[in-house]
Amino acid sequence: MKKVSKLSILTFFLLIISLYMVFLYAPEEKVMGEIQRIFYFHVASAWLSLFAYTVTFISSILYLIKKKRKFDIISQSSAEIGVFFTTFVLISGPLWARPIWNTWWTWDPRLTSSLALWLMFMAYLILRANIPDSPKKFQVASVYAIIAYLDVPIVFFSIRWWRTIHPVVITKKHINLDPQMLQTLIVSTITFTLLYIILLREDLKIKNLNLKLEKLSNEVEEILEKKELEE
Amino acid sequence: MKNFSIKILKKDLLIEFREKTSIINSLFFAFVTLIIFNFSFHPGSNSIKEAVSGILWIVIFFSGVLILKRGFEIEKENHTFEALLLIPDSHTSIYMGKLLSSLVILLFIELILFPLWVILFNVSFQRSILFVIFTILVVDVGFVSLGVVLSAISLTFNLKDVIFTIIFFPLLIPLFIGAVKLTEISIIGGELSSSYKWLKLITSFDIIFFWSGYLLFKFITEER
Repeated sequence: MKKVSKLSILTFFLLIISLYMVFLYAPEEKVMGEIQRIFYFHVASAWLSLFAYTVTFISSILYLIKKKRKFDIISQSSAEIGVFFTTFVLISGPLWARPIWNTWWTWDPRLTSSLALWLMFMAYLILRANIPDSPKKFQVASVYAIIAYLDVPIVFFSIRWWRTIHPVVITKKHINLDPQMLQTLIVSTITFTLLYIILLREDLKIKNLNLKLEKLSNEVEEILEKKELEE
Repeated sequence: MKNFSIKILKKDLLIEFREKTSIINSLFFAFVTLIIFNFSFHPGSNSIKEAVSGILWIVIFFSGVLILKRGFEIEKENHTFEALLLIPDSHTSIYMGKLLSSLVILLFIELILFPLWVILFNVSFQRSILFVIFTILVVDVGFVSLGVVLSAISLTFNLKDVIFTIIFFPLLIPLFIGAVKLTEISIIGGELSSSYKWLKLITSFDIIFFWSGYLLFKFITEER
């Protein structure tokens, strides 16, 4: 039986608590009704995807400086998780928008920027998938991740200037939320962040095992070749 | 470094203008796309007025991709890329040289494409023509600064053309929005203040991607 880490146990309970908070603790929104509850996970995933891309960006820079394989693996895993959560944002957004805005999709700035973000990091993963592993690949992938991340603020500005109808809940001066709603949002955000850390850790484990497996199978092949030659 | 990038620029232009096929290919591709777009509108309808600036930039971006790809393909066909790498401080020279040559060829194509677009779509301008020319210039700089980096990536790994477009176009979204908005302002007219906003956006795109290309290009060309 494999040991379960303390962090996983903590996240498990936090997930249950945040589910309770989202569905029972947080009051029902007056105008939007039950559908508003999607907000807590929607915002948490949006935050998380940005966080994940920031990790990708930083560890890509670290790869270019230190040239250690582990930074490249972190970049890739983090981008994968980021794309996963951006996908969730892109699905939960329309689910909320259908009853509230009376349309599945509008070219609202935040929706559009999330979509652009998703496209860019999907492109990063597609680029990686199309090149066989080599130190040069990791280097070029890091360059692409850095460029894509630098593009993020420009994308946000350009699309915001283009048009806007997304509700702005958190502004610079104050937060337009009921305290119980805010607590729920904070708890779900923390939970998702912990979930991210666990996913990243597990993914790194898997990728490292894969590397080991590759090495071993190469060694086995070499030994077999030697034997064949001897015979 | 300056000398070598000018040499690369001259060499590329000499090859391209002697060979002519690739320039004619991109030009003709742009022309055909321009014509095809025309059929998605009712003849004489008003909706075409709102779409013309978008059409211009889609056509320019697509034919620009052909030019950018070509810039490194000639090195591959002649096996001269390794020779280029022998230049002292090679990465910055190659980056600058390729950037300039793609920019000049792109401008040459636009020089022919732009009047055709004006004639075929009956475009009339509210702003001076200099404003439009300036728009095209700043957008082109951003386009090639980023494009040279990505086409170098797709050359080093022999990526398929489709991958090049997949990795290139998502990054171009802000540039495309800015370019279309500025062109729209010059056709439909609009506040001058809003055009400053877009110009700021495009110039920051230019600066960020010129510098990141300049600094990061060595990681793409360097042998590892």
